[in-house]
Amino acid sequence: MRFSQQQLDELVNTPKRVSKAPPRELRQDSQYLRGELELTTRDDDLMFPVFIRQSAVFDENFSVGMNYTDRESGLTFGLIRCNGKHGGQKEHPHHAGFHVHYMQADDINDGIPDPRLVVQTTDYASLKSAIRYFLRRVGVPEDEIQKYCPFEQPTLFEM
Amino acid sequence: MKARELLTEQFGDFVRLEEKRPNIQQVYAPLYHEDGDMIDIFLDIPRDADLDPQQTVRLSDHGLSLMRLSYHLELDTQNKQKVFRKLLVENGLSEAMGELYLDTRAGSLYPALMQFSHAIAKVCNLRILKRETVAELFYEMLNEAVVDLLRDYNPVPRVCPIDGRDDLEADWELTANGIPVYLFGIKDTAKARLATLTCQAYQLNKLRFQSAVVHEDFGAIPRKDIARLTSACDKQFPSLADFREHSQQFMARISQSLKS
Repeated sequence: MRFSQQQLDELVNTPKRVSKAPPRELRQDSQYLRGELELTTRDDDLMFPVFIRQSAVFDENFSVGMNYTDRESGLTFGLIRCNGKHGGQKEHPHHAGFHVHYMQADDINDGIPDPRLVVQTTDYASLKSAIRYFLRRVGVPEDEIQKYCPFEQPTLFEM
Repeated sequence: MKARELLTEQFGDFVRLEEKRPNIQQVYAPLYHEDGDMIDIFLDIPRDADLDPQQTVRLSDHGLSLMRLSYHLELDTQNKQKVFRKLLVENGLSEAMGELYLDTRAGSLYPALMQFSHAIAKVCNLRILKRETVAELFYEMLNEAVVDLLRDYNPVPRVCPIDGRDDLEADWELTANGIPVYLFGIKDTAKARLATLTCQAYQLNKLRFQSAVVHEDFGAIPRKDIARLTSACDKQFPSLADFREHSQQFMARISQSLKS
């Protein structure tokens, strides 16, 4: 199946609800912490697994991302992924910064299942604020975000 | 300027070390994953360390490669673990508590860096093998399902009910009230045809049995092969998911009908 950019954008933007709650605490798996949750569209038609990962060694290295499995082809790919400061990227090779990866239609249609469009961001500065930003970005309503990720007073390091 | 000089200069200019933590230097080099993120490589040395060429230096990912891989793939079966371990061995990497590393002499740091980065890229791309590994995993998953769900029916793998005919093998034999139920996993057309022949041979040899097949993808088998298989066997599960959902009921019904 071929995707248009509009279809991919709709998959990201369409309103969703939390169908499987995130864990209260991330659990350790070898050298990183992890958690999963599930989002579905309002009509329960589409399901999106979401992963949360944070290095247990470098806590600024984290990732919150949403995958999608195309029913027709069975292909699973990443739609959007919010990253912490893990190092450089092709567009900004010389410094680490918070950034968001987006899947592009040209890439998935060429069989590249990784989101390659990278956008630097200042919309979050920690894993917790990244999770809130991510949920907002993919269309989860504010009351659900507050329910599962209650706002906390940011520490000095998050400001 | 000659190309060699250009490359040496440009690569040299690009590469730098930044202290990530005390005694852990992150390597910034033009080595990227498919999504454009730089490959995470660290040297476990102090900042501005003076290295003797014979000194051992560790290149490490500090667990970040398996973290990245877990975005899309879990190494949660023996087969996936086997593929992962083979990749490490083939590429000279070691693993401890989820950290991938390569110990090298400082005098060979550059080739080791190349070797390490290539290997890390392969590990993080294991998900690309997912489809191929899934195809091979079908039998592994079927076996797990049989053992998990149907242990009450004494599953025995790889049986040849006709003496002297080891070419007519059933993937599993289950027993329902003393009567064997032969189970076949069908991954492709070749196996569909073999299962058809095998069931027909069992019938010709007047064996008392029931037969069932589990398709990996029912829709992938050509119509005529499906027709022949339908004629030869007693029950078809169109997918592994369907088998997981209905196999226990199926065996219970077989047991009941044979009882009465």
